[in-house]
Amino acid sequence: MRYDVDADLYEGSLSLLVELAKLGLVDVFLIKLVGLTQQYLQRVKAAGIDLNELAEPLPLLGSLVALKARGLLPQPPAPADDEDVPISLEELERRLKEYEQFKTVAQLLAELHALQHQHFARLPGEGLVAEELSAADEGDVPLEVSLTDLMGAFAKVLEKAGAPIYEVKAEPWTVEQKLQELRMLLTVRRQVRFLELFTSQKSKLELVVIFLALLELMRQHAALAIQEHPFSEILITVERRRLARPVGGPG
Amino acid sequence: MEAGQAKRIIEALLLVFGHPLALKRIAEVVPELGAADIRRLIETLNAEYASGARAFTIQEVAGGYQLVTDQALAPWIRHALQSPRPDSVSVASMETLAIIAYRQPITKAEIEAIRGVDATAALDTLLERGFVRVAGRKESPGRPFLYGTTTEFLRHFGLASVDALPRMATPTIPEPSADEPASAPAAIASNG
Repeated sequence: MRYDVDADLYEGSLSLLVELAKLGLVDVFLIKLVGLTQQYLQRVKAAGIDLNELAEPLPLLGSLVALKARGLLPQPPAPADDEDVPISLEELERRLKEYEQFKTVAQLLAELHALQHQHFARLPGEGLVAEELSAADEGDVPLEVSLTDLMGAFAKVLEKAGAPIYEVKAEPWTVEQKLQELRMLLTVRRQVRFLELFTSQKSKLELVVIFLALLELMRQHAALAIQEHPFSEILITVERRRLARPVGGPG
Repeated sequence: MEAGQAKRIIEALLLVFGHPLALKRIAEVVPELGAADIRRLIETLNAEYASGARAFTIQEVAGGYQLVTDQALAPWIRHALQSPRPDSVSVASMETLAIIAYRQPITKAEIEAIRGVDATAALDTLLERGFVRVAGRKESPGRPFLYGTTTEFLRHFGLASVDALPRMATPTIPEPSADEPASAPAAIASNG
């Protein structure tokens, strides 16, 4: 797709502008990037959201910015002779022509792609034939398998591997049952130490269930958690005492 | 073997295989038939499909034959598959793909020299979609990867082989300097 710009001293394809600027045939400092940016934004607003189309001029605009930024830096006295060899006009013309040709065939390919996607084959099943075909096509020389191929192969393995098996354990303890036990205990003892409830032989799950039961009991106002003094042991009691509430605590 | 029966066998085979089926494979199943016979029968089938306004057509694609639906039916199929639009390929990726297709095997640096911008993202997309693969390494400093197109590419673009690519406007571009990619370019058009 061609993206045209209108900078004061240049009007035409953005890609050509970038190419010319790279070669120093257009002074990048005379191109107002603000103008280009505004043109781009306008076009974004007008064109709606086709990400491919919107993204395409960005690398080119970006390279203009980079060029301009580089121009601000002090130049090294003698540039190394690898990259910044000045390119002849003929060479530039040849490159642009070559690129234009590829752009043309790319459009043809896009049409072919769209056309082929009007046809539907059977949905892919087991890849019986594909592997043999590609093996026959690519000649006899073994090729290094790329990471993509490996990932693809492994994805197939994962697909074939059935659903994972989860182990569900029976619940030996329930909150209801522990609630019952706590009520019994408190009826008999009136008051127990918090830590007494959680003896260490018990499994983690059972401890959690007991704790949940305790919270439930407190929510029902059937038990209270109190401390005789600050930092003293927490006690669970059924007695309704006058309690000093922590300052700022919930009412 | 009776021609009608052979035709039916070929039709059944193409129905069963979702992928393009190589002529060689069909010949293995029906050894009585030569390649020319099979080609002729497939042509007959296609003619029958066309004259009978059937839903199918047989395509020669990616080095084989495959049974596909007629393109006039695309809207309904797409609706059934719940894919409203064919997945598009970005312009950048398409250009990169074109360069690879016509100049394969080619290195990333050579692609970038033609496009003038970094090709990493486009290459990644193409590799991920399976249109392009690493086809070896170039025997030059750093032994860079060489990229080429895949059968998946041919399938998605409805091409029988790389030879079936549309011709480029001017077939050869003079190579002016020695540091340009030397081996790959022109060779593909003739032997690929």
